This record gives sequence, structure tokens and C-alpha cells, in this order.
Amino acid sequence: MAKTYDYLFKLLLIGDSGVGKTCLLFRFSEDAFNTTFISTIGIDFKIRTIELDGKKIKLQIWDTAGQERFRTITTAYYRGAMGIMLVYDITNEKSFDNIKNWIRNIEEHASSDVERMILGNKCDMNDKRQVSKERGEKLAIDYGIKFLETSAKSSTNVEEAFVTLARDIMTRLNRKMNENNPSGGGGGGAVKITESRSKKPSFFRCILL
Amino acid sequence: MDQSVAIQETLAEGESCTIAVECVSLLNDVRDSKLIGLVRQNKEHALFIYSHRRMAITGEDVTLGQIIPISYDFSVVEVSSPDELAVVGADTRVRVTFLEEELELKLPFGSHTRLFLSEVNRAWSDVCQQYPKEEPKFDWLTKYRKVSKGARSLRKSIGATTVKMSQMKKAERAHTANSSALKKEDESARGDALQSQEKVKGEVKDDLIRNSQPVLSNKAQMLGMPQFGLRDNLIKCELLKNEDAYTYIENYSFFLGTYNVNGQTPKESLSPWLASTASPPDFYLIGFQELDLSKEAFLFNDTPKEPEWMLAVYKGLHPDAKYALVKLVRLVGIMLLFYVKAEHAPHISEVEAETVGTGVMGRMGNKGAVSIRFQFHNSDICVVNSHLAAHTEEFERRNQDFKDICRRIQFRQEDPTLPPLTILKHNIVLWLGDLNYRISDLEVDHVKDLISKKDFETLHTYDQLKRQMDEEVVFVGFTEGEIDFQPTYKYDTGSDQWDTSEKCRVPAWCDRILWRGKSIKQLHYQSHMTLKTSDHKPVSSLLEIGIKVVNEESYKRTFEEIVRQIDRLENDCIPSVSLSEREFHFQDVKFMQHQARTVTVHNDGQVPCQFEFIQKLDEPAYCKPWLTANPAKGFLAQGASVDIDLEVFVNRHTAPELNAGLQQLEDILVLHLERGKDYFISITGSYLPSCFGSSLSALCLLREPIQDMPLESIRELSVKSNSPVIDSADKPQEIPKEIWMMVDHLFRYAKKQEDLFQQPGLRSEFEEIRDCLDTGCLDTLPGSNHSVAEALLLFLDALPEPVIPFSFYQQCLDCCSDSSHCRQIISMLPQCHKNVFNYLTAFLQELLRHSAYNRLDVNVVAPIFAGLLLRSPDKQDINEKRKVKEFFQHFLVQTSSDRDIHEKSPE
Repeated sequence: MAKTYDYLFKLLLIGDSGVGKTCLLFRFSEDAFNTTFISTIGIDFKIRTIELDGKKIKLQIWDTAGQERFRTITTAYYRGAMGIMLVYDITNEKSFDNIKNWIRNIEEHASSDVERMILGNKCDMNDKRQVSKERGEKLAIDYGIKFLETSAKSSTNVEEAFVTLARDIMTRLNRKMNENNPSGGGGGGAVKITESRSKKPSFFRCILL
Repeated sequence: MDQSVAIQETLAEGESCTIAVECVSLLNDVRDSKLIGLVRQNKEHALFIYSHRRMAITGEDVTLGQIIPISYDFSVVEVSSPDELAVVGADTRVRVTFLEEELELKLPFGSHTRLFLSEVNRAWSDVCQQYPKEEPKFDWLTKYRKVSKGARSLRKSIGATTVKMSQMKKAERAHTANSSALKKEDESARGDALQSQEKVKGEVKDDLIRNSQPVLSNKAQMLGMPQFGLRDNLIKCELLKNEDAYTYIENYSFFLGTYNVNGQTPKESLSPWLASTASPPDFYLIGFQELDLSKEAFLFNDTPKEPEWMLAVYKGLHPDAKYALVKLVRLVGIMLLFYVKAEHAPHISEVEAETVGTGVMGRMGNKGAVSIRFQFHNSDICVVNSHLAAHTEEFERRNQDFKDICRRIQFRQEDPTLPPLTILKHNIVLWLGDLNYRISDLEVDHVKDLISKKDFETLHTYDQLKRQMDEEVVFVGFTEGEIDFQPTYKYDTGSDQWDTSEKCRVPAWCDRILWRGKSIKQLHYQSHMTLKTSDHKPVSSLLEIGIKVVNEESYKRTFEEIVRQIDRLENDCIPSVSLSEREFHFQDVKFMQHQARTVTVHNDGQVPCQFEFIQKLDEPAYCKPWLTANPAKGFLAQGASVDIDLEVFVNRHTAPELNAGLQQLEDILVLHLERGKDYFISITGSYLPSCFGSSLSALCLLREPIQDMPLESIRELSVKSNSPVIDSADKPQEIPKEIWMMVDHLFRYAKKQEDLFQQPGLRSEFEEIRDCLDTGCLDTLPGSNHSVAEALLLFLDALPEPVIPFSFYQQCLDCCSDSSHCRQIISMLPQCHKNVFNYLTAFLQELLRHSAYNRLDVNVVAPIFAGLLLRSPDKQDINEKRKVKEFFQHFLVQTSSDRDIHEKSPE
């Protein structure tokens, strides 16, 4: 075993105040849910390490203040993000309508190659739903963004959301690396034994009797 | 206005005024306004105390009084009473002490005062640090002492009963690292003082956090810092501790063989030795000694016998399995071969080989060891083939050889940051070879008799290796199986007969196999008498070894759980604080009037943290110019708190845009924790517009007091005042009524006031005057003549565009010596600016007519008003100031045209 993670990905959670950004982060990093709503006034972050196709990815997830008055300040943190989750509340149509504004903010302040994902949170509260799943999917399709409905409370699709975004970042990263290294790797041997080169070169190789 | 500029003009070259503050000196209940500057020359500092007129603008406005060198005997102590401490915004009272002289001062509330005191304290701390080896001499003060000789007299403050408090109004509750550092400095200074029999009267605590890096003492805190690699190490440790959770034991058979071949070539099949087991072993580890005794092998480490014996081994392996040669290692005549069943090869990794010689001079390869280490599944295995020192009496040398081999064989690890791996660090160590331990203390005939009786148990008690192991001087921790075969040395070559040479050696078990580790069971331990090629007999041991095999599913689960725990630990150690409040509103903020609030930051996280207010995107500072946070950065120990003062102060730089509605009292502070979270603190305020900081043209359009007007109207007028087109219905007044009120007041009551414009007014009276002008609540201005005079000067200073606009500045300087040209420029000013200029100059001429009473003359008035009416957009040099003064002096001499203007203004 070598190091404990191969990549560090920085993710950002944005969206209107009260849609559940902090709860999503708490569910994913601590596997817990807190019903008390305390508005995030500032920037918070947590980490979680996942495994993806044999690679260990350390996710550093930044949680932002969603209130209107802090919008100008939080855009300063977009630049460093490799992935951004746009969160709305399915029981709050206004938060869904504002996703367009958040996307505009991303286009203005984030890296051009940032991966994005739209989450419709609080899907456990179907009786108070104001935004149908179809509308969420359509919006995501219009912008070419992936979409998931989640519930931080019932732990629905939370893991999937973060893993999906991380996988998309990884895919983009691998595509870049392949462009930089056109030559492919060689094939493996018949019987492979991991062996470091010795100071004294071995005269004999592995011989099958 | 920064009054250190005025002080700077009085200083010689090479001296600088770091900071200046206006204060009130208290001497036997007599209050006297003073200006104090901290002056530095190279590394020495001193306090210069000046008397001053109203607001100091030039060096001529200040008069040097007392000089107090900042030496070891200097001290500043805060002496505010507890009642005053309770009031936020109260002034700071300090006692300045030098030798036996004391001076009590009252400094205005605000961060400027704290900054001043912290600079003084820093200067004094520097002196203390160098005491007593270096002591400042203050030679540069001599020239000033002559001038101020007559003024030197400070009387003791008698009977002052005060409470000595730290510099901070509210004691900082944080037990910061700097506090302890300061305490140590204090103790050190105190210790020095005791030694020198001198008394330290106190010190001012430095409230600015010095640049000190917090010492990371929390192991978990390092998790977030990849350069330590602690996270990786923790995971490895946890995996090791939880190994039982994801591994299980699987048994594998290891065939170990050792044969000293006495330099012979193979002559017979090795199958009786190597294929002697019922089923094929999983591993073969075959060791040879004395493979080649020739000089060539010794000198060049090359021998044709290596491939010969390798082939013989190859042919002799168990015929029921296919084997792969993993590794061969040889040192002169010592060789070790490592074969494995082909199906096990994929699970072998990290194969390394090493050799060490212990022969001639302790280094040559005629004796020594060769070794192979590898990892099989999750177990680390090391195999050693050694040939130790010969001869019966050399058993201690053999012990030493063993120790040397253990110490000097070091395997390089794949991770370069890890130290080399030694033999005994492995889970399993298998040791074989010609160890050369003999049977001693028995006659040869007796030995042979015991052998013929097969009484190996008795014979073994005379074996040197057994005795040394029992005494724990060699092979500690190793196990050897029971020996039930006859000694393996020495035979006549080609026979089973004991050595018949004249030496007639005592038979001995030179050839041994031992092991060390858990889950190891020996199935066979035997010699093989049928092989006659050498004077030794080969020995073999079949071990069944329990290998730790990884259950991939369990491993993944365990690993993920460990990573999860470490993630949680890292998250817990992200610095975190709580704030007493996050929103602050400052009500009715007024021009030149402090308002302050306090936010308490409490470190409720699990680690110490460094905090700092940081800049927002595209902004030059962490906060707006009218706002200050103090301290703006610091260090908080776990559980500690700090009070941060938030201070709003609108001055002439910020008032214009606030008055015009172009700016609001709105800001968001970002409190950043190093490696942690950011907190947003919202600052809002309602600003009461003031004529101070408003433009002349806008004020001329105001018919009511500025605070009686709706904000929208003020904004409209500000915009309209920039437009040359003026509606007839809104004809502007000739001059702002505020100027008229102040000048009219002075004209009525202060024409004969002694030292008018040369005495400072009171801050509280200025505030009343400002409120009166802005609200129109009184018909008569309150306050003394000096306060009204100072208010007029402050008004002129705060104009966003001076009476003579910036665009005319250079022209005025260019023609300052030509009186008619100067007047021509004034005639071209915008109307209201021209009116104000003429009005003020007429007023000043009137004052000059009463110079017998007010003691004003042209040389007094000109420097005061010239610098206010004719201001440079940039800093002025001395030459420019002279020209400005020359320009203005022309207008203080009365002419017939001025008299006409005066008559036309009955006001």
C-alpha cells in the first residue's frame, strides 16, 4: 500500500439559502442529519475519501452561504472548484427558478472546464412538492448537466450524487492526461512478479519448469 | 488630517515621526491640549510633546515642549478608572513616566490611540531586549533640548488614585501564545531589573499580535497537512492493528535445504534430498556453501559451478509440480536459490536480495551470508543462507558473525522515505546454512560411541549451538527442531565413513536449519546420507507455515472504515470558532464621530487557530476605509476568546461620497481561519448627511439644513450642482449658509478673540456645532470661539473640491508672485467658489484690522488658510507650500475693489 489518496478534488455546493446544502454535506461526510436549520454565514468545508475505479479520491467539499447579500463574496470561491453542485429545494419553486441565476454566476466566475450537477433536494417531502422531477430533468438537459433528486434526510441519492460528480471529474482528468500522453502503455507479462531493481542485476529470470 | 506631517517638518534630516496623536495633558487639574509624536532616529525613539494651534497643518503650527526619551527607565501605564472602562468610547488615560518625572495624558478613544501606544510599547520593548549590553545614547536629542530647556518641568501627579490596567479596555481573555511570550519577556526584564537594582514601573502590553507561527502539538491537526504524511502512516497503522479483521491463515509447505559441497561438482542426482517429501512443496529454498573453493571464485566472484549446481537442483526438484525460479543470489561460495510453485507466483512481491561477507578481515566472502526477502500474500518472509566461522574453538566468533549478518544485511524498501528493512523485522525468518557449531568437551571415541547408539539426545547436550542458544547469546527468538539424525560433518569424500585423515575430526552438526515467527510447524528435519559428493551431508527441513492471506472483500471494508474514521478525525480538527454576533448596525453615524461595537470570537473547535480578516475579491483592503477591525488578526488557543473592536469613523476622505449618496455604510467582513472556515460579518450603518464633506455647489442649492432634506433631494442636488444649467426657480445662494453662519458668528463674537485660529477647540463642542449646522436646531452656534473657528477650518479641509478647485492649483502656483494675475485667476473660478473665496478673504481682512486684540497678522493667517483653500491633489513639498502662501497673501492686503465688495455684502 502506498499513499492514502491518489487525487484531491475540490467540490463546491451552491444554491439558495435553506435548500439543504449543509445537510447534504453533513450526510455525505458524517452520515448524519440535523433537523435544526442554522444558516451558513460564511464558507465551511469537510473532507471525505472515496474509491473510484481503483483510485482513491479525497474530496474537499466547500459549503457556501446562500443568502443574497453574500452572493458577491461567495463567487470568489468558484475559481478553485473542480466540480460544482447546484442545489434547489423541490418544495420551493423560487429556489428552482434561481438555478438559472446560479448557472450564470458559474459561467461568469468559475473555471470554464468545471463539472456541474443539479440536485433537487428534499425529495422525501413529496406531499409538499412544488417542482416536478420532469421539470428538474428538463432544466438539466437544457444546460447539458446531470441531474439527481436527493434527500439528505432519508439519505437518498446523496452518495450517488457526490460519486457521480467525482467520476465525471475523473473522466475529464483522464481525457486530459491521454491527450498529453499519446503513447499507450505496454502489455503485461505472462507471470508477473512485482520486483524492484536490485543493486546487483539478476542473471536469472523467472523460469517455468 | 494626519498631524504627524506637521511634526515631521520640525525634525532634522534622518529623523521621522512614526505616528502622532492629539491628547489632553492633566497637570494639577489644568487641561491643556497637546500633540504627541513618536519620533525615531535609527533605532532610538523619543516622545516629542508639542503645544499646538487648533488643528496642526504645518510645522509652524506646533511648538516643541517636552522630550521624553524612550529608554529603559521609560514607562507608559494605563490609569483609567473602572467606571470609565465600562463605557465603550471613553478616552484612554495613561501615565508617562521617565526617571522621577510623571506626565498624565488623556488620549482620545479609538484604534489610532491603540496603534500609537502599541508603537510606543514596541520601541520600549526593543530597548529592553538589548539592555544592559546596549543602551541608547540619544545624542540626536541635544539640539532640541537647548530649544526646549525652559519648558522642562514636569511635576509629579500627587495623590492620583487609579487602577493600573492593561492597555486593552477589555482584558483579552485569550491565553495566547504571545501572551506567554510577553510574560517571559516581562520576567526576563524584571530579572534584569533586579540585577541592576533598578525598578521597572510597568509595561504596556503589545496588543498587536506579533508574527509567530503557532506550534502544532496536536497530532490529529497534522492530518490536513500532507507534507507530514501523517495521514498515510495512520492508515497503515490502523490496517496493521486490524489485520485479523481482513486476513486469514492458510498453510503452505516450505522445503529448506542446506548443503556444503566442499567445492565439488555435482556427481549424483539430488532427488534423494530435494524430492524426499511425499507431496511437492509449495516453496523451495536451497542453500549451498563452499560452492567453489578456488582463488578465482574468491577474487572475481565468478564460478562455473553455479550453473552446474543450479541445473542439478533443477533436475532434483519434486517431479509432481512445476516450479518457477524466483531468485538466485550468491556470494563467492555461498548461494541461495528460491523456487516457487508456478501457481503461487502472482502472490509474491517485493523480492529483494542482499549479501554480506564476514570472512577475512571481517569483510571477505569466504564466510558470510546471502539473503532473500519477499512478501507472499500479506506476510513478510526473509530467508538467510549463512556460512559462519570454522573450527571448534571459534564459537564466539560464530556468534559475532551471526550478529554482524543481522545488522549489516539491510533490504531497500520500495518507499524511499522508509528506512531499510533488517532481517529480524520480518514476520517470518528462515535461517539455514553451515553454521559450523561443533560438539565440544567430548573425546572423539565417546562421540562416535553415542552416535552408534543413536543417542542423539545426549550428544546434542554437547552441541555448541544448543548451548549458546540456551544462554541466549545467539539466535535469540529462533527455533530449531529436534535433531534425530547423526552429525553431518566430517566424512571421507565419496563415502559414509567418518573422517579418517590424521586430523580425525570430531563429528559435528555443522549444517542447521532454524526459524523464527508464528504459525510455523516443522514436519521433517533430516540429513540425507545417500549423497556422498561432499565431506558434509545435506540437511533438509519441511516447514508448514501459516501465511496471512487477504480476504479482498473484508480488506476493502476495513480500509474504507479506517479511511472514514480518519476523514472524520480530520473534519473534527478543521479550525472552528463561534461569533457573539454576525450582524452589526451602526445607527446615526455622524461626521468625525466614532462609533464602536465589539464582536467576541470564541474558539470552540478542537484545535488552536489563527484568524485574520481577509480581502474580498477586487477590493484593496479587508474592509471599507470608514471601518476598522482591531485586532485584524490573531491567534486563539483552544477554548480561548478574543474581543474584536469594530469601529466606524467617517472623515473627510469618506464623507463626500456618503453625503452624495454614492456610497452606503455597508460592508461584509470575511473572518478567515487558517486552514479552516470563513465567517461573514455584516456591517450596516445609517449615515446622517453633513455639510462637512459636501461640495460648495451642492450646499449653495440647499435652502434647508442638510438633515432636514430627503436623501433623494440631496442626491438630485449633488447631480444638479455638477450641471452648468441652473433653473431660474432653483437659483443658488451666493455662498453656503453654513459658511455664513460660522463666519457671521466669528464676526460678531470673535473679532477681538486672542489667538483666534491658534487655539484648539473642544471635540465635544465641534460635535455640537456640526449638529447645529446640519439640523438647524439653533439660531446661534454653540461652543467657544475657538471651537467655531476650528469647525470652520475642518469644514474647509473636508471639502471634496477645495475653494480653489484642484484644476486651478498649478496656475496659482505658476503666478504666485504676480498679484494682478492671481486676482485674474480668482475671477475665473466657478461662481460659488469665487463668492466663498472673496467672502473669506474679506472676513480675514476684517480680522486683521483688530490685530491689536486678536494678535493675528498676515504671517499667521496666510499659512493657516492658504493650505486649506488652495490644496494640492497630491502631497505638497516645501517649495509648493511657500508658493501657496505667497499666492494667498496678495488677498489679505485690502484694496479699493475689496472694499466695494464688502460694502455690497451687508451680511
